[in-house]
Amino acid sequence: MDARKDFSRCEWFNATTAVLAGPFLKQLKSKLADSLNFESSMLSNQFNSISYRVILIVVPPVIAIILHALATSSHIPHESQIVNELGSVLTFAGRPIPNHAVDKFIFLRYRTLGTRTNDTWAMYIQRISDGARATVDIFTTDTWRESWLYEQVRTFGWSPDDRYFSYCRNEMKELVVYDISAERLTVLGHMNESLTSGAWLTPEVFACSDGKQVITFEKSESRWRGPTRNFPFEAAYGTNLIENLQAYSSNTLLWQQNAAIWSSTRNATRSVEVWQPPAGNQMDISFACSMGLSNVLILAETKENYFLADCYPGTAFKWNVFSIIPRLHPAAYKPTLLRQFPSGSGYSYLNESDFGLNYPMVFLNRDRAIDLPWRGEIKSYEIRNNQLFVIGAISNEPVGIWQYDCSTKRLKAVVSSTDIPFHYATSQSPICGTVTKRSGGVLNYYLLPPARVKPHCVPPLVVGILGNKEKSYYWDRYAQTIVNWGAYFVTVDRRDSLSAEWAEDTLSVYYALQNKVYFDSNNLFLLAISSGADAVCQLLESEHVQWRGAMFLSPTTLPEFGKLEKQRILVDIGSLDETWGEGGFRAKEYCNEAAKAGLNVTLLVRPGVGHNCRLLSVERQRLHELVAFLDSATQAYH
Amino acid sequence: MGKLIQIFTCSCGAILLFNATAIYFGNFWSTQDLVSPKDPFFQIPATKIWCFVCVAEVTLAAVCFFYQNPTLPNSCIMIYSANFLGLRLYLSATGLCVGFKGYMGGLAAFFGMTGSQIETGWILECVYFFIGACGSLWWDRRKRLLKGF
Repeated sequence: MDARKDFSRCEWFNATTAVLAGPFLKQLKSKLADSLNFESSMLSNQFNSISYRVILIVVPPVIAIILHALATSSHIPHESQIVNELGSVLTFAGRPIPNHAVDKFIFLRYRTLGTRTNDTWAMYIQRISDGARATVDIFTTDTWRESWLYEQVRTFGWSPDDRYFSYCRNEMKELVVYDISAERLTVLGHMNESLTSGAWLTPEVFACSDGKQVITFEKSESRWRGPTRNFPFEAAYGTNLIENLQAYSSNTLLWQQNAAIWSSTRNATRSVEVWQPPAGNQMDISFACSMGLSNVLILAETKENYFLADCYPGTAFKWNVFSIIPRLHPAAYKPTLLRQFPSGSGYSYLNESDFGLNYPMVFLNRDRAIDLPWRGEIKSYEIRNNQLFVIGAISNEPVGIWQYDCSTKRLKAVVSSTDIPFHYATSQSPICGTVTKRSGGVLNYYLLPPARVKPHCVPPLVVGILGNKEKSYYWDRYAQTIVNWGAYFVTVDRRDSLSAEWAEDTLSVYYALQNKVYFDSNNLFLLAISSGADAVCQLLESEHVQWRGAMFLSPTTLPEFGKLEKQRILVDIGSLDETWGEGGFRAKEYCNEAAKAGLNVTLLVRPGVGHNCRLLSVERQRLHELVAFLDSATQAYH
Repeated sequence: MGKLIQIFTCSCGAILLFNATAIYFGNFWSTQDLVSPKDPFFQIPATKIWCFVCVAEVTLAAVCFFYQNPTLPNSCIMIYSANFLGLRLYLSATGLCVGFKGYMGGLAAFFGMTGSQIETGWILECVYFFIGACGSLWWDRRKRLLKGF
């Protein structure tokens, strides 16, 4: 039997050799024959031993994990920490409001409890000396967009004795006073209309306006009483609303109606127009006054320029223009938030840019502005007793609240925007550029350079077309995550464009960047948020540029499969997003069809989240997915 | 030849374990909010299909490693690979979908590859399994015939 077996083997090999001649195959044949005749080899023993099988069981999973580690070795170091740091940034709203003694201040900041449903905005009071902080009020929302808060809350300020702080909430219809010492909120009243402005006349008298009337609340016998109408006012109609109510003295209020400034004294028979623009001059104005000073500071905007002037209510000498600020391009700086110092000669305003890089101008006297240390993004400011409080960034970190002593030039960080201090992440400042549209006209874009570049890699480019409410650039955690990941991020200023032009505008900027920035043209990605998805779909489906992938966050539409080739798609939606049906039904159908078409669509449906949701906890998860998607898409290419 | 078959069977076991590990980490360690596409036949989410495949592969690998007689492991490997190859051919022929690549996102991401690359690798692996298992079964049968069974 053994002889037959050996014979058959030899026959088989001879036949093989006859067909496959050559020295190599002969050598192979001899080796194979040797191994077949090697009946009592070590190999045979090894195959039968348990230890060998255990090795065989352990080694393949280890190899799989090693290969995975190799595949992910090109990821940026500390990727997860970077995302967590950027995902912990809490945005501020409004401006910090210090009290008269400048030992406490109030500010508004987004806060998170780390769950999907409990994220809120909060109003905090903080002691400056030791940083002790308490929560004044909480405003529940499902969005960290500041615009939501501005539709709900308006702060009025501290009482002259720093005992109370007043503001309105619930669509600005509920007037509230916070007692600092008792740490208690008192609702003064519910209005039919939203309050537009308010001012403290005395520690016990607060005046406010809903645009149509001036009303007061007074504290007597430890109870707030009101509303009363002690101050006469001009009937407001149309756009002629009462705005910017300020206390000129303890019994005189000033406000503006259109371009005129009006004054009203308690229990007077009628209000008085104290200043109006010279006849024939069209101008928008704002004013600032300080109790105890006779002059009122006016900031007026004409077609040609801005100018600052002193006005003296109740005197024959009407006004004195002392500073003219040239008017630049509409997108360039524009003075707002005018403040007058109690000293009389000092004043300040915020040079507000549409671009988002605001800069406060502080004049301790009428001569020249003092130098301030900020070079990064500044959102808003407030000044009290030469102490400047700014929501901004010194360099390229996320914005926090800073206190700057204009006299001693001492700078101090008083509130950080992050729960987790930045060790690995950085906040990149945008570079503003201008290109000419294909169809003519000027187009602004904002380019964020990569915070780090992977070794031996040319940075990819991510083009962002964000939502309808984010047509310009402001600090954006998606953009910052992308540049921290190692790519360029560019977004086009779409404020002057129709949505039908967004795709073409983006292409114009892309072509302009090709000659200006060194990026990897094989690794181009698109980021769409909400209504930006339409333009991104047009770009994906066009043949002008080969995009590697696209990320859709709460999109309004998704691209057609037929026009896609190998692009990777990431879709992240909320289950309550009505655009995609119940539980994201339509998006799931899309995902099924895409898989059938062989497209790799990564779909994430966040339960309990709507279209507009920007909950910090969900945002952080989205950032992780964004980075994982970019890693995966670029690895597959390399 | 018996040793070659043994080597083949063990290599199949190793590859199946390798696959099972990748499927496990690639599909089940992702975020809970991830929605996987449903397969075109039973409308079952791809993650559940991969779960089934993962369990099948581990079981098959155990059979490959611990079953002394090569006939059973090789038969299982042949059936396993024939299923995938047949399914792939059927999908191409009917146009129901363009292949497995749309459903292999997790696996592709695990190795940093594209869906097409992973699908090609998967098919090559099935071809290896199928040819090797068929050859082994043929040799085994031939050996039995020669022995006079």
